[in-house]
Amino acid sequence: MFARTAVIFASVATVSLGAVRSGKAEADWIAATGFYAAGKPVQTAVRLVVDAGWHTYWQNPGEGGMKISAVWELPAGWTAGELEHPVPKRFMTGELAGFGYEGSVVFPVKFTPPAGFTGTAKLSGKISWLTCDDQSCVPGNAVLELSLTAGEPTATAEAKLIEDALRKIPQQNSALKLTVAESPKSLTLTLARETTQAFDPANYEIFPATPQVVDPAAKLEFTQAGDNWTAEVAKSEYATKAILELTLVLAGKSTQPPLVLTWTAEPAKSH
Amino acid sequence: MKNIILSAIVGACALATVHAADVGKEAPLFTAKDAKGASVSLTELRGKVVVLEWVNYECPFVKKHYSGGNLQKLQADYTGKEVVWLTINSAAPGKQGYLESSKLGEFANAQGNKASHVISDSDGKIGKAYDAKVTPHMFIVDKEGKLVYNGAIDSKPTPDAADVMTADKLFANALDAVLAGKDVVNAKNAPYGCGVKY
Repeated sequence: MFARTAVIFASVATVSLGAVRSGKAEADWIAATGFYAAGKPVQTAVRLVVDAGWHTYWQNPGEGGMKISAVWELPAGWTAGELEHPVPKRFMTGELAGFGYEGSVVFPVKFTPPAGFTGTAKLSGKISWLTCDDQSCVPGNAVLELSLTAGEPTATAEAKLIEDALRKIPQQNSALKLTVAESPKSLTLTLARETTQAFDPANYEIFPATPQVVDPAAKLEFTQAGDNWTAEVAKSEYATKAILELTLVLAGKSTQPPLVLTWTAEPAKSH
Repeated sequence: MKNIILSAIVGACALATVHAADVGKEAPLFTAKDAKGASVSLTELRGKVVVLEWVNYECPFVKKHYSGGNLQKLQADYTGKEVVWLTINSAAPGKQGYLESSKLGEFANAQGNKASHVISDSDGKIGKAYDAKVTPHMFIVDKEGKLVYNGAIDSKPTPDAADVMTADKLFANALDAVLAGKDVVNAKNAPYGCGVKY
């Protein structure tokens, strides 16, 4: 009798969708719709609410730090998209320059059921993160669950929150082209306009998304050079091999949507 | 008189250039007292391979490597191979993980530390000379006193002890190469962990 009661409690706990407190943050998993349609992606998001005075980290955490990670357990045939990182802010942790978030941060992630999937879908994810303040670092982790039912997708109470979060996810932009020239200690970055669309880098705060290429303490400030803009920045001290790729995230200072620009080195010519 | 001024200027320049610990260059020299009161001088350790490990026992990334015995095992294995291992705590008084020298020794003992010396660097002089950024941050000095490794203990920047087994052993591979008289691949890489609490 006792054993049976315990089992019932356990099964109730696993279907509840609540926030989990761990370390210096609270995590939950929210969905824009409580229903899914077979073959169509479902927009969800992992939300971290970090305690006041603490921060967590971006995909490029800077010096020290750790980006959030997620390991999903999905029903057969379901696939997970990328856990997307909204634009970060800069901060110092003691003497270490870093990038990340304070307060509430929402990481959108899509899941796609296979065609023909039926019944209730139980999704599970193990989320791990790090929070630090000047005095210490405290890791957090949570196993979160999401239960989706087959049906006509209708917006949940969290749909608006996820929509707002998606506006902070940088989007590829074909109107601008980034190129990188490498010197022993620094990089010269050039932004060229590929269309006549108005653009001014002064309207953006710019972050290096690729770790260990740009010194995280260096500010990325472009100045106009003819039709283009250039910036010279210190290289990361860990960029000990030729730099092959750099992705920048441009966060609009007012209403400009955030952009992502990627440069990759031309493949070396074989002789 | 002119000569004196000139040499003073040259001296200042020399100080400025040795402030950072660069891989391939002479490792910054230091003298310190260990937790038992014994003197440790890098100059006197010439002829031995020396490891410097930055520690803060309250940091989750340090706990990761002590809770499962990884660091204790590395310390025991390599001191058994004539390596001099220095565990250094640069946390300043009032900061997280600070321990006064003899307390640090007791705490390290309780953790099963097998280093040759445990050193409290609470004024951060050694840490700043090496630019130790995080705990754990690993350095290797070769027999000629040259810095040959500055980087991470391994390749998985998480606080999860289960990741130790599956990570690339960046530091141990480097130390094996040094002991075998080979060049270190990946001699400089980004260490992970908590910031050193200077």
